[in-house]
Amino acid sequence: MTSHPPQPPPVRTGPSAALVRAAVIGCAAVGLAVLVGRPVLILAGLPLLAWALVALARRLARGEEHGVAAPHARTTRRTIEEGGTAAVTLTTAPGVLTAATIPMRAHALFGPRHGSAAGDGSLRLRVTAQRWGRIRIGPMHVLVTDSLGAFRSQQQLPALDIQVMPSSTVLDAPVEVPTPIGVSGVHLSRRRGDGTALSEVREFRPGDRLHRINWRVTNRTGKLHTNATFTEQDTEVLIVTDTISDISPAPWSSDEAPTSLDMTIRATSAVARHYLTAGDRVSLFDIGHLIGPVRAGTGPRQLRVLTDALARAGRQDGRTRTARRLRTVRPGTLTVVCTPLLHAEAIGQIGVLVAHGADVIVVDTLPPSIGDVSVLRGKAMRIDSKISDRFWPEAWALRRLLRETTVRELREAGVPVTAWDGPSSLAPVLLSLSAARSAPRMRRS
Amino acid sequence: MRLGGLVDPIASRLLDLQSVSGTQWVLRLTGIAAMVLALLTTLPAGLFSNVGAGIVSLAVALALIVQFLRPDSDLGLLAPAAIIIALAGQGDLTMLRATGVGFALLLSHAAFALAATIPVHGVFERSAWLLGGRGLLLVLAVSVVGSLVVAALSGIQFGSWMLVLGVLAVIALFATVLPRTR
Repeated sequence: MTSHPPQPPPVRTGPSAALVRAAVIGCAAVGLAVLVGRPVLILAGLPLLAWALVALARRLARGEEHGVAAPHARTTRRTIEEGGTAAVTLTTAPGVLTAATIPMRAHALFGPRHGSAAGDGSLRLRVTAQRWGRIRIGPMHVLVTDSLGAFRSQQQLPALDIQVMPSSTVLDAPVEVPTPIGVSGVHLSRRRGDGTALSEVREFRPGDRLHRINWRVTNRTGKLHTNATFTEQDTEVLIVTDTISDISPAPWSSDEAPTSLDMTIRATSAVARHYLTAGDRVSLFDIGHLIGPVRAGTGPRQLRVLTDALARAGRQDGRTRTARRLRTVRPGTLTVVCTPLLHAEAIGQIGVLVAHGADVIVVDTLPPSIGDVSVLRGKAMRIDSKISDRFWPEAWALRRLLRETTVRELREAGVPVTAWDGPSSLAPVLLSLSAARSAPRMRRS
Repeated sequence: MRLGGLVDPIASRLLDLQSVSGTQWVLRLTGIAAMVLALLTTLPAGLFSNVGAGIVSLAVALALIVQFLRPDSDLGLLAPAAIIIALAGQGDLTMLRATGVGFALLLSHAAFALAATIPVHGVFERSAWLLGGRGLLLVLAVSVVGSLVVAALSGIQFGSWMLVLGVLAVIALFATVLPRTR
């Protein structure tokens, strides 16, 4: 048995200014005609009187004096990708002129352009998402009226949420990790055991598998020899996101230029997809608590959980959030920290992770236009044809220079820092980390 | 005073016009054009041929400006009221002219009534145009039939008792049509 949602009560409509106008003018014309004894005057007011009478008769004939069907809004899709389109459908009843207006939202395009339309009993408004995150459609202002606009009612429908998932870029990087710490997987470990990569040919020992005996070497030496292999393991990848604040690109950059939060989320999405596809366990910790922690998991389900968490994140408030600390991490965990490297809390967190023995990679997500010194000409800049006396470009240039010290210190501490510049950003860092596996190491004291 | 300070507000106002939808331009301009047509038909001698005509023209112009900006304004009553009063004061009013004024007033009124249902940037889907058009067609049909009946009955001479009956009929009509609550 299927259960239907309860029908909302009908909406009572009231007379509009147009009905008052038509009734007053129509009756005044007839009244004047009677008073001055000139029936020809009736002809001037008769069409307006007819308009009012038709509206009244239509209302009675359709039983609308008790109210019209309450408007009901729904979205065709609750989750879309960046650049995707969802439709908001509003329905009342046939023969009811239904108009809806949605407040404009940043990073969303509406069709019709200004998010307002009217239709007969139902209408569709399209929403195209330009950026990831949650888009709040509404609160929707709805006006229902008869076909003439004589009786009408207005109400506000609650907002609908659409989740926009970050666009799915595929990371152009190797899947090797410095220290695989899992049980079985695709990453070549330094431990010997069951695997496919040959480590050495050695004498047979009790317990060795018979099918690994190397008969060629055994024939030559006269002693049983066996192939020893490296084990293949998966690993745990921890993605740490810094969403403490959202840094907008410089005013002179294009409208499509991403903010620091955009870059952080896109990098997070790409890294998660990359390692989940390789069969690793991926977890997420958000310093700014915008996304919420995602526990470690594997496979397509975990990818869905992660992208859902990213899509749910609201980005409208624009405030700075309080930072949270991740206290412990398993040694050897590959940790990718996506941060604009501006807040001391985020930089401190990187230090904590390194101290716990994690293999940390920092993805720098500060928009490249921020602190760009190439635009400075030694005089006040004109932004939107206005000269600002706040010297923001100069201040950001100084902040970026200051940040360079942090980047240098991180690199000196053995933490690679790479700027997020699309899917190929991490390739050199991951390659160098893989190469570093075989390099001689200095034991930490 | 800098030239930019003078020009920028005007430019800003002009840029605001870009957000006005095609639907609203059509409805509001139709409303204005029909009302101007009604005024020209009412005052064939000219809009400012005498003091009375000038006052009527100014009243209509003021009401139209207000209604163009806010189609839902109660001041929209002023323009058709001024035209009806002007017609009542004319001794040489023909049936054809009165009918023409009546239909022009209807067109203007219907356009502004529909314009008031959506914001200035709102658009009518095709179904909304069809719904509005069907409603207006019905009104036109009723008006044509009503005008023919009035034209047919206008030749009949009634006694003075008709005045009392007519006033009572108008009061009854007024009570029926006039909205009770807004």
